[in-house]
Amino acid sequence: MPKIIESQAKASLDKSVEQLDENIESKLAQIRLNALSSQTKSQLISGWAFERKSLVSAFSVVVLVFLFASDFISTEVSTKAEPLLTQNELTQHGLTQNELAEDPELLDDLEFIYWLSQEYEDV
Amino acid sequence: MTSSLAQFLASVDKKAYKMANIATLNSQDALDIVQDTMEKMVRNYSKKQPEEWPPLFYRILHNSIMDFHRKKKFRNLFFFWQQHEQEGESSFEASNSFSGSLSGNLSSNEETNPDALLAKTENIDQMLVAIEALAPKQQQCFLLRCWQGFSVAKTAKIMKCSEGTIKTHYSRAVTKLKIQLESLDA
Repeated sequence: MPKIIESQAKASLDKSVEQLDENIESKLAQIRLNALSSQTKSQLISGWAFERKSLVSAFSVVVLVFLFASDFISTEVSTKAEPLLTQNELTQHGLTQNELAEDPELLDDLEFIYWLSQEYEDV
Repeated sequence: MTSSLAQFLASVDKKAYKMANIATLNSQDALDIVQDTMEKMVRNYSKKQPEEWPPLFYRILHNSIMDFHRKKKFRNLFFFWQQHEQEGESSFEASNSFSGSLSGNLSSNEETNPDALLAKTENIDQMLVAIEALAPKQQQCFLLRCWQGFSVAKTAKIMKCSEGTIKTHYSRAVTKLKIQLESLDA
């Protein structure tokens, strides 16, 4: 009995689909088109959103690099702006600011000089 | 991929509409459900393998139909006075052997022309009437198993329940259809 019910049900349902109104069929066709076109739209939107995100990310990186670089530069400048040794200390070691300015290699030895000055003070 | 998806949707749209129409007894609601289902399918599952499309599609359809029933129940709970009016209409339809499927498929000509309506009435498929009278889950289970040809396991996945529950729903659906058809023949 179940098989008879099943076969009768399938036949009735198939027949009802074949007899669908033309109006309904055209509406279904439109629904299909709308659904498939929404896929294209969503791909375009997601592509635009991805590009926008990429631009924002790139801009953020540039800003960060700029901030880091400016901070680094300012640190370097401040380091160079303050003399490692005062004029008195330089005089003690027979150096003048002018000599330091004229001989840049002395700047590289300032740290050694400072250390030596501390050593001699201890002595 | 898009062209094969388009072909798939063209192959299932009428059956999906019919399932939704049987569940909702309203053409516009059925079309809305099919539209919602297709949009979700295209949006979320277009990149899946084609062999996965049928169970995915009918799962979305099933969920949409169940959502419809839940919303209807909620509406009926709060707008009970409208429900009494609707019940009155449905019992009138039943006493005059009107099929619920007519409500979705009548053209304007049939609605206004008594001869056309009578012709349609004479062609009422008693089986469709019986299927429409099933409880929602039994109805869905029967249509997915019998008409769409899904296995017990796939139907269980679609309806998010156990295989035992599917077998129970199906068995009860077949029994009810048998009783309904016998009473209609009598």
